[in-house]
Amino acid sequence: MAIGRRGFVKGATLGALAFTVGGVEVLIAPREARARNVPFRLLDAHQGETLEALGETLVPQARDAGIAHYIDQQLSVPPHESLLQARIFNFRPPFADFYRTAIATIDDSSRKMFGRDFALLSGADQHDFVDRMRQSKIEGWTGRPGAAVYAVLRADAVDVVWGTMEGYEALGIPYMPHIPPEKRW
Amino acid sequence: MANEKVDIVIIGAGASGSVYASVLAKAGKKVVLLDSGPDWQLADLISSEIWGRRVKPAGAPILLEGKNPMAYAAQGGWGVGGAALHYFANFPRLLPTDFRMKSEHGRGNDWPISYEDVAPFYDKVAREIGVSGDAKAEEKWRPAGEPYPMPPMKTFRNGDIWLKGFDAVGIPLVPAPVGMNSVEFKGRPACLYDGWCHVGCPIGALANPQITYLGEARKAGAEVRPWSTATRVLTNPAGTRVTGIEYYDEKHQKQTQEASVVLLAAWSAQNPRLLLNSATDKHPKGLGNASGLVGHYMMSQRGVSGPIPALPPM
Repeated sequence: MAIGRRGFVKGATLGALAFTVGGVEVLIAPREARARNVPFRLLDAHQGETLEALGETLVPQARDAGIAHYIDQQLSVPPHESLLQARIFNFRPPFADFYRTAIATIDDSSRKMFGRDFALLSGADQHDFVDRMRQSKIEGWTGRPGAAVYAVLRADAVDVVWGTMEGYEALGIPYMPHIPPEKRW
Repeated sequence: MANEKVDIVIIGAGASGSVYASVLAKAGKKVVLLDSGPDWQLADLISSEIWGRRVKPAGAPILLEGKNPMAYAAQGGWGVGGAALHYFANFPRLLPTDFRMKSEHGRGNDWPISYEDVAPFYDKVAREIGVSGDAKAEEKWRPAGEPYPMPPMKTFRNGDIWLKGFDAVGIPLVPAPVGMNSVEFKGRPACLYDGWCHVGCPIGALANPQITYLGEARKAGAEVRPWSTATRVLTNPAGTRVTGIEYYDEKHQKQTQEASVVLLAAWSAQNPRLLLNSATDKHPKGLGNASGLVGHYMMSQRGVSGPIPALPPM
């Protein structure tokens, strides 16, 4: 059953996203969706694994915070409901095109540089790769500049780890909400 | 589907559309506002970095070309209230010399109006929506006007550091005039200084359209139609008069709204789109585009940020 605008607004109030569990849409946070091993809607397993590896490299704790489930769920909603930074960066919908192309480019470059897909690299090599991507210094890179890919993925990772009420708390910043997102997300 | 003719149809229910709607509806005109997005209510303005993106532009990207293309989305809005639903409500005034840039500095063009023409409206808006500031302090740079209806906002540690630094090099700073309540104003509460302006203030301390002009417009009978995407300004066969607007409603049904006056208040990105998309055999380059300049010379503000090592620790 699809969640319509009322459900969407309710979800927003709850601070949860609509994930499909056992054929039924439920409103839960990305962290919980990952913990419950909720199937991806659009990404395949490798793409999800790569996003988690990238997210964890960029912002520690992004994997457990559910970065891949967050991005996957957000790619499945209409662009005007999307909360992704890609919307703020003025990318052309569907935003899935950006992520799929970026993952393919990253893997392609990773294989050329290290002989393996990005998700299979050591932590040190992942950091080295991302540092070069940040500076758009990877030879043979195609598509959007590495710095742009870095900026979007980093923003996504920051969102799921630090953009939450827990994130503010961990940073020591008083949240002081007018209308708090329930479930602290 | 055709709708009953109205006096004025306004495209865009944001910062400017809401002002026109208020003035015209209170004058007894039959007013319809079309907006492409949701009809945001104050209760929708959740204090969240992530959920706050719902009020930002959605849909097709704005792709600028030319010598200096720029990103053009984050500062815009989507839905009723527009960008003014999530703005920081800064209300700086132009200075008299800004109207005479060509004659005084040899740059740009002079305006056909002067600061004195605009000044009464600065004061009027400040009175109507509530602006906090220190007019006397500003008057070291601009002609005298009315005092602001509220005292300046508080300053905090970071502001004090900037004040001290600029004072040391002899550059005076004055409190910024802002459309935020430093004290209770017209039944709206004072600001709590919690920093959620950028995702929309739901308590009414910040002057967004919902609680100012749009609220007044609705009370005066203006009709707001959300989820209504305008596509073309319609003209008579001779191309001598505008007759209404074509739009698509929430169910993606094509509608027309006849009106004596069509007012485009749909943002600097969407107004040109509408004018260019309204081309006819009588206006082959688009409406109002005999010059060919519609959609050119987009301007934005430039921001610069970065660490300043000399600042003392906060």
